[in-house]
Amino acid sequence: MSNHKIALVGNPNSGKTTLFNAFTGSNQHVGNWPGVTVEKKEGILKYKNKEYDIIDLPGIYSLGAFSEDEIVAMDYVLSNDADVIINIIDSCNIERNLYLTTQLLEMSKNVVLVLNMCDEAQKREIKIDTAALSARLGIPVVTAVAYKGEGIEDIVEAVIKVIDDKKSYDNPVVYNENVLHHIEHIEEILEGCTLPYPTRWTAIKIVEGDNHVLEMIDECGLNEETIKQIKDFHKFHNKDSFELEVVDSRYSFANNVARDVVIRPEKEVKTITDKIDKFLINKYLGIPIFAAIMFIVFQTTFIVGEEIFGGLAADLVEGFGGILEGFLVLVNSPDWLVSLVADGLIGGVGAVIEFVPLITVLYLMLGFLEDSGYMSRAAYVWDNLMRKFGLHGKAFISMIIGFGCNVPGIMSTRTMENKKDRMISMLINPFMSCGAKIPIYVVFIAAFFPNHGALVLFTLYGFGILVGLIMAKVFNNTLFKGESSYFIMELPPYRMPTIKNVLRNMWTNVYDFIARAGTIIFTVVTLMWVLAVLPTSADPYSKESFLGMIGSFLVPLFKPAGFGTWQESVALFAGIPAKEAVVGTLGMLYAGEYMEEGKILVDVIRQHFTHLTALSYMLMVLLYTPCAAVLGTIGRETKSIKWVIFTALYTFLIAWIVAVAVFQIGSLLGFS
Amino acid sequence: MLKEILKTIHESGYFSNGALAAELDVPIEVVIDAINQLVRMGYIKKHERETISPPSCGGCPHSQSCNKEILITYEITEKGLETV
Repeated sequence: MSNHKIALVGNPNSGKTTLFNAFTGSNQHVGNWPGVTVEKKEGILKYKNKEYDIIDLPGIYSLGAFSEDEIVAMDYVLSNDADVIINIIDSCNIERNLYLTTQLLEMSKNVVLVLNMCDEAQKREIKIDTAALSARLGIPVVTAVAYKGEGIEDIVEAVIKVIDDKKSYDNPVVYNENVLHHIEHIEEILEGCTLPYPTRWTAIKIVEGDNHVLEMIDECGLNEETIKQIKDFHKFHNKDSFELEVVDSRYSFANNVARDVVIRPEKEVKTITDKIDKFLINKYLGIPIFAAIMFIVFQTTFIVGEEIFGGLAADLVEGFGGILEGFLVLVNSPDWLVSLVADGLIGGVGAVIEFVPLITVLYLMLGFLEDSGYMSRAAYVWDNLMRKFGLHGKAFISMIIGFGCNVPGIMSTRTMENKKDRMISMLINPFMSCGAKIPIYVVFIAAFFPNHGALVLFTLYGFGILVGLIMAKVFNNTLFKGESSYFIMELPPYRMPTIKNVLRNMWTNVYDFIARAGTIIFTVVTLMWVLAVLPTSADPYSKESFLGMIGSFLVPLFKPAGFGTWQESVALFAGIPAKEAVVGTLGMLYAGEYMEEGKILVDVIRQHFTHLTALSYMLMVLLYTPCAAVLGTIGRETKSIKWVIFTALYTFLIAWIVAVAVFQIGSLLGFS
Repeated sequence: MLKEILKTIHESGYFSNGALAAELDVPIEVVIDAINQLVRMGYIKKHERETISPPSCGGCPHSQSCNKEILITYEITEKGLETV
């Protein structure tokens, strides 16, 4: 006589495998279910001189046809191979687990319900009336703590009683009248038919529109009239609405049972996340709150990054430069080498490295915001406004990433399925002021707006966003007409940012900044230096040098914007390979002037610019042609050189118009 | 419950599992399950993020930024729209 078979069914992480191991010990083996890659675990339970075959079915949330695991479990349960089904549920998540239980009950199988992890439920002060639960479901209910081995014997005794009683259980799941009427109608159609599955269950699945069962109907040899009546049912009724009603009925049943038998401790219904969100995603307060948060970020960045640590970094760079120059002179190095190191590298690259503390603080704070879960809220509050400009919240995320570097900002547009949305987001991303531009702003802010650093920086970033939105509207109405995609955002719960994530985010951006200083900027500044000291017939760093000639050629272009010297023009030109090179080049070109006279770059800038020209210069830097890496990324993502050239030209045009307008209007109004 | 969830998220354009759980007076795990059920049944579709990692990304310090998932979005399918 063969052993009785017991199948274990339950949600993942309900303790099913622990129970299986407790039952079988080392008497188990693992294989695969035939024809699929789903693992099959079988074992032998030895109890009071009898043996029982235990089959551990895959962990599933429901019995349907949505995955191989579900199909395997469903087919096995329906095969009548098992004498008893043990349904293991997590006592702390009874509502979620009971959905599967309702489906097992629909199959009219012998089920024993095991409330596992009772110790955990007790810790959380969750009380379950097991007698009431048993009465509601019409099946035995046993409590257990499988990992401790508690309740194992009770479970086995309950299973044996079910086997011996040979009792059948009524399906207690209640459907609404409409669905019930159709289930009964299908049951009548199927009456007398030879089906591989229980008639009632088959009728429920047909009404639900389960494709797996509908395919089975076609193949199980029913007469044509029966099959036609079933197909007519789906022809005349909306399959999808019944599907939702049937599933909803199960959830309602499970929730109602849980509500009746589970007592949870009194707790606030609304979570902290929802209370915070009441303000942060408020229709009217959302964007002002975002603006205020960003202002605080910039203010903190200036106070800590620039005022406290910035000077220290500058002193270190200057000190190191002095030592290095002194050493080179001491060892009788050639003049060109001393010039390259002192003016080119220390003056150029050093001018960029001084901003590492500021960059560090900025990205520390942005990383904190991102890891807290706030950024998805920011995307939501901006979504509404951005839709007026032909964009949406996903574009906001690419913009936020662009504040670090426009390259990943542009790459992140890949998440947009709609091509129009993606193209517009890519083309406006360069207006998001990246980290490389910060040194430029800080030098000019320190020179002309020392008491309003955070406000000026905040205004520049905000203006970049505004220009981006305006251009998005223009593109939406011209080059890329069409509807934006509509989607729903999930707002995850707020969480305490982890130091690891925040530091990793900060380090990513700081490392990139330093690495670029050591590579691209080093290369650009060296190249600029070479051009500045050649030809040898000209004075180094003079208008007659190669660099001076390039700058002089560009002067007429920039003169209407107020910065008409060749040094200022050529520095912008140097910003095409890398934006940090603007400050690097200014530092290198003015290095002789400020280092010899013991001044700092800020003092020299003050001599060559005015408040107004400083503002127009910063606006030019904010908006003009993005760096070569960004242009290359646009080329790769669009697979078109056309968009690279378009981006290079249109951003320059916008920047020029804005810078010229600010300078000319400012001059007319008497600002200097 | 599923219909209510579908209607709520369609009307508001966003959802938080906590807020839905509070509104429906069910545990948050049930809401998570229900959302997954709606995805499985084809009423909503979760936007899966394509992992970006061409060979040139290996040396880029921003390669992690490109693959960072800051925003999780869904789309109500035609089947879902017909229902709501």
